[in-house]
Amino acid sequence: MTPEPGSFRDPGNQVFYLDEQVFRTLDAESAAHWHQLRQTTFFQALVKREAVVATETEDRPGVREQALSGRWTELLRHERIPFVSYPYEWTFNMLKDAALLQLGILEDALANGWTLKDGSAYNVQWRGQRPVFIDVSSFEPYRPGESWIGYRQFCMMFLIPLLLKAHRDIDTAALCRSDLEGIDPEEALKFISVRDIFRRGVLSHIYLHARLQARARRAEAAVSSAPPKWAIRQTAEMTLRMVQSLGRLVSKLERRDARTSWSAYEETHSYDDGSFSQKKDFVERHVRGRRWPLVYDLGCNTGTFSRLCSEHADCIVAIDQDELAVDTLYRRIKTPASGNIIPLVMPLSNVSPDQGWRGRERKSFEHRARPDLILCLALIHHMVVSANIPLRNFLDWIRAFGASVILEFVGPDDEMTLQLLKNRRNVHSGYTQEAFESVARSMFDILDSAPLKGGRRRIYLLQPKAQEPTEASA
Amino acid sequence: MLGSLDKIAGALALGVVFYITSTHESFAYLDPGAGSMILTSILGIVAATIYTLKGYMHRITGVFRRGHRDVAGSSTREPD
Repeated sequence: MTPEPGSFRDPGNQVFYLDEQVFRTLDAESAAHWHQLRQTTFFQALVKREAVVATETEDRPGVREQALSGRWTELLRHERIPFVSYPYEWTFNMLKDAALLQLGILEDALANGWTLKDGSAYNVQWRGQRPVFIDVSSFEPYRPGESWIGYRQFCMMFLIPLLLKAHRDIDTAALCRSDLEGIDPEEALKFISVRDIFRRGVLSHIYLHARLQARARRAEAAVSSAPPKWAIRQTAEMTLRMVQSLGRLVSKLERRDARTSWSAYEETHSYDDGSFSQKKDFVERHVRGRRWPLVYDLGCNTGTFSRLCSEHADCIVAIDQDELAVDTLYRRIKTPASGNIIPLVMPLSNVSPDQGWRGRERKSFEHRARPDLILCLALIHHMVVSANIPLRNFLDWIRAFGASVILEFVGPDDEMTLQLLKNRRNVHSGYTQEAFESVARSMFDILDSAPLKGGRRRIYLLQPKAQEPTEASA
Repeated sequence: MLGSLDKIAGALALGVVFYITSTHESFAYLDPGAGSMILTSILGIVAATIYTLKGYMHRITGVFRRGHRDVAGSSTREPD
């Protein structure tokens, strides 16, 4: 039994792993809620349309015996999500769709006498390109007179990042990555101008929110005894209409048209059609013929090669640091049908770290899963030349995943490398194909390789050698 | 005169605040935030009022649409 280190905030339940399966223990109150919830038509419908993660009461005596002790009285088994990601790794449209999923579920719940006890973005995960709500213990019966407790959390984790991105084009991922609680309304107020107050959603959810919060804090501080918790008398109807209006607001938020070098990659990349098709052939030749449980496409741009691999893999995690390129991929693959590509935004020279309480609440990218195949196409020159990561160190990092690797080496004479070297030609004199192959051979077996773009680039199939690399990369 | 109006307005505002807020303890593991809870009650009142007004507007405009609906209804009605 391995407890999930990020599952501790709600004392009514705890997630743990056993034999590659995901379980959740419940205390008596949460168990009573679960047994009511699972019989409701609205909840069954949510699970059926895959909006909520598939969940069953675990009845195998052996497992129950191991899990149930102390205050835990009931045990649930969840469907396993192939790859866990975090809100600070999602694009604007992914965050928006996750918010709409959460609001839609809350709306269904309120209409049926239930509510959600929180509004956390960490309650949503991705099954391919489709969001899924994973925290079934967040459902609880609606108490008459109560408002939605999760509103502030929803604002901090979903709505404020979306508003700041939509109206100010602020990179909120960096803020949400450094503060796992999200963006506080008073903090968000510092990012907006007077003109922004009149933009959609800002007046209510940032300006008024921040002002009321500051005023309430001052009022609480003025009371010498312990400050009371304020509960608001509100009808279910009022809460439902508020949630519906939040849904309408979120669905109307759009990002201003922006174009980066990578979001237009497919039109502007430096390949001619012949070379690009050679690259595709090489990848397809080595990917087809077997089933890959988990593939990482590092530096995926708009996901051409992720999509190429999708029929040969169970799950593909497509990562790039350019949000608009990844958002382009997300919008392309967004269909009602289930898919297997999870697009994520992450700077590859500074991937998501272990963080949160005791550095274990949210896992680093390296510690989250074990891929079977890594695509690393035209990424190495950015890492070595732009980010100044030594060649050996970068390959060592890739080797540490223990996966097969398809890597495209962009040579020093390639125009894209020359562009990056423009102001520092002498610094990277060791960046050569010979040096690359020499380092690669010390860690991998080179099973195949082929020249691309008239020899200015070369693509390799690398198989990690059995021994561990000498330098720890974690 | 203006002074007494101010007093009435102040009393009304205070009444509204007392109506929508109380000092009962909230039943959540999550701190909902006092300011956020006041805001949700305001937003709830506004959203519910707009919804109700929209309903009335729909009924009022429905009077003028009734003629169209009757025509449409009569065309699909099964003969007795």
